[in-house]
Amino acid sequence: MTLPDGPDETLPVSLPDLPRPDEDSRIAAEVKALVREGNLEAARDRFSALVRRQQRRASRIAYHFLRDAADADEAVQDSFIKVFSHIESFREDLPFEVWFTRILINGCLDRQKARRRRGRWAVSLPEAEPGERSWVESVPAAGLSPEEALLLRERRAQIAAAVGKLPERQRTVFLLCHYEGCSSREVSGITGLNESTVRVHLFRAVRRLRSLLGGNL
Amino acid sequence: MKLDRSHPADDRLIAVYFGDEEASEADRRSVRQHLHGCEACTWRYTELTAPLERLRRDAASEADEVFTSARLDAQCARIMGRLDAKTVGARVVPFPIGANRLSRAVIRRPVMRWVAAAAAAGLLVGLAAGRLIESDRGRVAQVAQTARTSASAPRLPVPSPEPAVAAESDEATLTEIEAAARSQRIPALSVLDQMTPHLRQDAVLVRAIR
Repeated sequence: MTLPDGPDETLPVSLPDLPRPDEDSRIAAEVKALVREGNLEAARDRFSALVRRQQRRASRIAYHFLRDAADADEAVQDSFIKVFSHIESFREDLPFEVWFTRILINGCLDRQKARRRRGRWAVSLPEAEPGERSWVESVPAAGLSPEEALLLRERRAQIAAAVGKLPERQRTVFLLCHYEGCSSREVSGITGLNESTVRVHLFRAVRRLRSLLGGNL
Repeated sequence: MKLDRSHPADDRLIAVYFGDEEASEADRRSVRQHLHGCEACTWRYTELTAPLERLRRDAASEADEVFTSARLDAQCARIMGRLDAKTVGARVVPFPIGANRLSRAVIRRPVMRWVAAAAAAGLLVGLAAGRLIESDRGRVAQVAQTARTSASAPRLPVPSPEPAVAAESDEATLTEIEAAARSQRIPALSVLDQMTPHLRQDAVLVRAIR
């Protein structure tokens, strides 16, 4: 599933009544105005505030999608660059977060596809399993004994593998709804799916995860 | 497990957990009331939602462990760097730094320029003068050397009181040389040999003149 990436015209016609523009949207509107004036230096400086506000959330989303820190890092960077490049197509009457998340998720999905294509031709290492790459980089939580840290890692690996087995739409909806706390209306705005379809995907995702993980969920 | 009609299904419980906006407020209230009164459904709700809640917390902490503040700072710096390259364009890096500094100093201080020009001119004048002096000395030395050479050089042979004896001995020597040369004559050089005046002929000629 590739979500409509572009700007405003790709948004669904029956756009849900999304919340009114917030602080991020206000900053984005300022950046847009500065770019239009040709004051790129000032626009860049203002944009840095937007990056600061959104980057943690963006990194989380990208990491949950890609399960690889370096890949997620690059996806986030690319998304911000893309946002700045296309800031003139940002609609001030819509939340910036929705627009930005859509760009980010499309970037993540593209990367996943590229990875899958590469995976078809590349021979993986014997111990490398899907979703395991990031565990090398992940630092065990402070205060845990080695056994606890190992169990935590195993649990995370199981969950990541189960989430990775979800169909693309279910996974997207689940990650946005559950991990990021987006409402079905917001997910509808991000993905372009109908709100009721979002809910159906969410329920199916939860059901499937329960069956995949059993007692581990 | 067959549920009583009033027991909400799993999907409804999950919808309540996710804060489904489509469900009416009355519907959500009725589910909550049911949960308060029905132990089985409360247990079911907890069983459904507790793992999900744990999953969410776990996922957030996992991502935060990977994306530390330092990493986010570095990420922000990289984004800004890429934007700089995009917006400001390529920057001309002054190279070499020393030369640039020197040229700037020269431009800013005209006095230094004059000093440099005077030094260069002085150097040129010095070189030219040195060369002139050297050439004069050389000429004087050459004249003196010529004079010395002419004074000490052996004079042209003065005719001795017994020319016949000297001529006889020369004649004999030349005859010997010629005989030796003739014995190993190379045919290819005979043309050159014919063109060259022979010493003996010269000697005969000189004698005839005398």
